[in-house]
Amino acid sequence: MNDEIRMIARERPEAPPYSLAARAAARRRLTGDGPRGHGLFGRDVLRAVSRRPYGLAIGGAALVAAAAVTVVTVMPNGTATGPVAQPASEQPPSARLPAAPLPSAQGDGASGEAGGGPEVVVALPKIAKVSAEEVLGRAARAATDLNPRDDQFIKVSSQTMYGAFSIGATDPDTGEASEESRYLYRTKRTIWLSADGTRDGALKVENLAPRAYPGWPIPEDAYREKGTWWASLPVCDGATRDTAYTSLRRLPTDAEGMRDYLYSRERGDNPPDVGAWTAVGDLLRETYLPAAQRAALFKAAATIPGVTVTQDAQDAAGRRGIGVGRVSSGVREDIIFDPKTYELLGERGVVVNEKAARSPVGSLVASTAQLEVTVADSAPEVDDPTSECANGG
Amino acid sequence: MVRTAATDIPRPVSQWPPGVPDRTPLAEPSDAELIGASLDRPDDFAGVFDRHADEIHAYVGRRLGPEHADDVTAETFLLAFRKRHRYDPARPDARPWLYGIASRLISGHRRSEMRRLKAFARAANREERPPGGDAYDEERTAERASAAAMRPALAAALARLSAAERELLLLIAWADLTYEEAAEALGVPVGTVRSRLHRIRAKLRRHLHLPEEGTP
Repeated sequence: MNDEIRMIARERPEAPPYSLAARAAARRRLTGDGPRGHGLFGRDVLRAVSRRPYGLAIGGAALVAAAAVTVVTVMPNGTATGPVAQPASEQPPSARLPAAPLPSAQGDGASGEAGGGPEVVVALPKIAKVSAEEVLGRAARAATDLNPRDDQFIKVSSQTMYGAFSIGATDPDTGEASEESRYLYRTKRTIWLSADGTRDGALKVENLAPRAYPGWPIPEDAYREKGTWWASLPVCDGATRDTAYTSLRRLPTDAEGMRDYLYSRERGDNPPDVGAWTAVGDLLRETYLPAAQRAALFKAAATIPGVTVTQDAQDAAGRRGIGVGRVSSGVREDIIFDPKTYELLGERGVVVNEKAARSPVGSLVASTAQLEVTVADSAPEVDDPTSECANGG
Repeated sequence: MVRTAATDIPRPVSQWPPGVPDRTPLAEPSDAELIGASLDRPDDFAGVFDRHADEIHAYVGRRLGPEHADDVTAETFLLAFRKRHRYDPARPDARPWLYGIASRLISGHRRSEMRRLKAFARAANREERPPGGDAYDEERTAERASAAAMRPALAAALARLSAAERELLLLIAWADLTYEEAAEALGVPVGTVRSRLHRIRAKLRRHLHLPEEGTP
């Protein structure tokens, strides 16, 4: 009937992405009329980080030099399968780097982006006790949508700290026997992932100084990974990642359907509930889940038995939020939400069972912060001769 | 320090959503309720922002391009916040109100919008994607669209409408407002919306060289 109007509607231009930083700034203007309102609630950290995306590395000429000679091998199967599972693309490289001095992680006092820097002082809003279901429901309502085009890339910048585990074994490369060890490896990462999975992605990782896994000495190995390395994330024929935006877009948009999907995902030897919870993180971490599916995911997550709420959970950037988590192998894996908007801040792992986790109760054994999620027209081209598809031979 | 609440604990009294029985996580206050609550507790207005900022940003971005989207969106909500005491509590959905404010701000950027539309319109004559210029990125979208060849013509047709006509048309076509909502946004009777749209469609048909109405 209204063909002309429908024609105009059909060809509406793509909406530009709304960066989290710009969005947070606009929101802050509403609630921040005075000095009090400018309270450093987390988002200021975000702003600082997005203004200086590589703040930590700036001035670090050594890092640039190291990157040029970095040899990276992306192993088909990672060794660091910790309590907080990593995305498949995140296998640590068996990088052999020349010893390059790392610039020390100095905060500038105004931001908490450097893990070793001073913590941001935040004034916490009063939060009523809420159930997991309610938090997840609120998160679902805060869902936003970036609407990337199929030919674009989802770009995610994050800071991570995960456990690196090594069982006592003989190193196949060197023939050296090694003792069982654990440490926490820390990185700043930026990943570019093709929205439809048809274009090669890229990953930039800046290694930060490792930390001790509470209760374990830092092994010498922990200091091997230094500097910055890049990896190409090639498209492997016929195998679109199941976390590609266009794949995620096809997931169920109702909680029940999403729940079925969570329980149907590959979970290895994990019990079904653990597998389903792990799937929740995998769908959110370094991905962009469209708003409808995100809403469904949050609701579905709340139905997984054992999901709990922790007030005052802090992410790797020092931002505080509400942790929604589940205990696995003695570690409670929290997904941390901004307590006001319920945007994803990051994740953390906290030991709750000393025996199961083999680390003192209360230890922080994983901590990440998803600093910025945006849409990019292209991914950097990475000269990465070692990148190839797993099972590529 | 670390407090953990089990899922099955009795649900405590929630402070959110304000004024709404805490029955189910899906029970949420209307925009009107949030705006009403924000008169006493200004921070509650952030809830209106959380709900609609992305949509308004997308609309502004479509009309003015990425360079103005952030600022105009921020300005829209700031103005809305300042005028919130005048919000009609009988209207549960604040979208028409917000779109109305955004529309008026967009009209202050008419030259930017015309530049953008003319850039789209010119695109037909270019073989290659010209270097630089955010507006040209839209061409790639055009390539995906089935009616790719129509796009420059549509942009040209949009550019030939009056500012008021374009405002109304795009609230319907790009913001997906109903006639009633568009009328509310623009502060005109819905009958006016209908008659204006009739005129707009006739113009579009003429500029796009489409058959007259009634022709199969």
